[in-house]
Amino acid sequence: MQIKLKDSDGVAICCISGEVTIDTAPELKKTFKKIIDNKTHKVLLDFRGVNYIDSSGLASLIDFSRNLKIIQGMVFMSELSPKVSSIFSITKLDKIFRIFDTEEEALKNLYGR
Amino acid sequence: MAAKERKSRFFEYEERIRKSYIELKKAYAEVQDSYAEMVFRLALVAEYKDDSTGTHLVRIADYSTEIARAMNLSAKDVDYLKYASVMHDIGKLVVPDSILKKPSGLTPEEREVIKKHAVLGANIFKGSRSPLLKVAKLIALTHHERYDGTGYPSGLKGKDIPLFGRIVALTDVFDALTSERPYKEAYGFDEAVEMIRVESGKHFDPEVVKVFLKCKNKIRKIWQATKDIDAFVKDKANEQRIEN
Repeated sequence: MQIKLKDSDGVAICCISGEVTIDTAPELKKTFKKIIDNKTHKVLLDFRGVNYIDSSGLASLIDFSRNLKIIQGMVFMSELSPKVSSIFSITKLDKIFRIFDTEEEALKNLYGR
Repeated sequence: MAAKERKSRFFEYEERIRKSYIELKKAYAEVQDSYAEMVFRLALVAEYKDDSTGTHLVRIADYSTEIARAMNLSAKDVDYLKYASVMHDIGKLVVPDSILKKPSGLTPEEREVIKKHAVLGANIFKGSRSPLLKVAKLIALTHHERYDGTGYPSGLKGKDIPLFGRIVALTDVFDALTSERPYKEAYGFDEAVEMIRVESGKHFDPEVVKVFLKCKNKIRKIWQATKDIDAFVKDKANEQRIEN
């Protein structure tokens, strides 16, 4: 799994690629901690390079979302592949997280908040 | 044609082939991705009939993947198991709700109807040439076989049960033990692990049990992670209900 972090007008864009699993989720959690420590309030997780996510990966997103909420932050997600999207769907996390088809749409919504 | 022009044409063709290969690889990945999406969504239909949750499917996939990796199965086989394992109960689509959702007291005839889901599930994949669906057929058919030969539908014994079936037999029972059902409370994690251990050589393949016990910490993490997911979804649903 690879993670690239960049800033776009105050929004932290976290580009994830590879598999987010029980073995790689700890690495993602470190990046999430960095974002929280920087007190970044708006985060976009770009999933275009993610080809699988398991229960540990999903749990790390939930943990991040909860921690961000504590600092009045928010996280959006974009570019989920059909497979990854179906995993969010079967766990009903697609009803909870703000998920957009494209980075542009997600950023537009994030900037507006 | 001058040598220089031939060389230039060669590089041009090489570049076109390279680009075509990249596009083909991308298209293949997209097809595989859609394939996997359909597998998950179709499996969920069967789970809805049984009042199970989607996290049951995620747990079966994750538990089975962990055991398969620890047993040093090839990356390809681990992948097949990851996706095919979620289809293990697809045959329940054809079991009447009146039987499937009965909280207790199944008659012998009703038990026979439920047992048919293994064969019916396998029949859904019959004739498929897809390697993934061949594995799904195998798992649907054999995940209720028992190592000691007292399972169903065929009473297969020991290593006659395909390894994929032996792995999902264990993960499916473990998940059932640790989940609340209409007819029972969930057992605690450690209690359920012990219940699996005592069935080594009887219900389950001793080698699979050995690996399962070795992976216990990771299995616990998976179990906890899906509890977190379910709790999060439930909390958010309650929040939305209050807001409305």
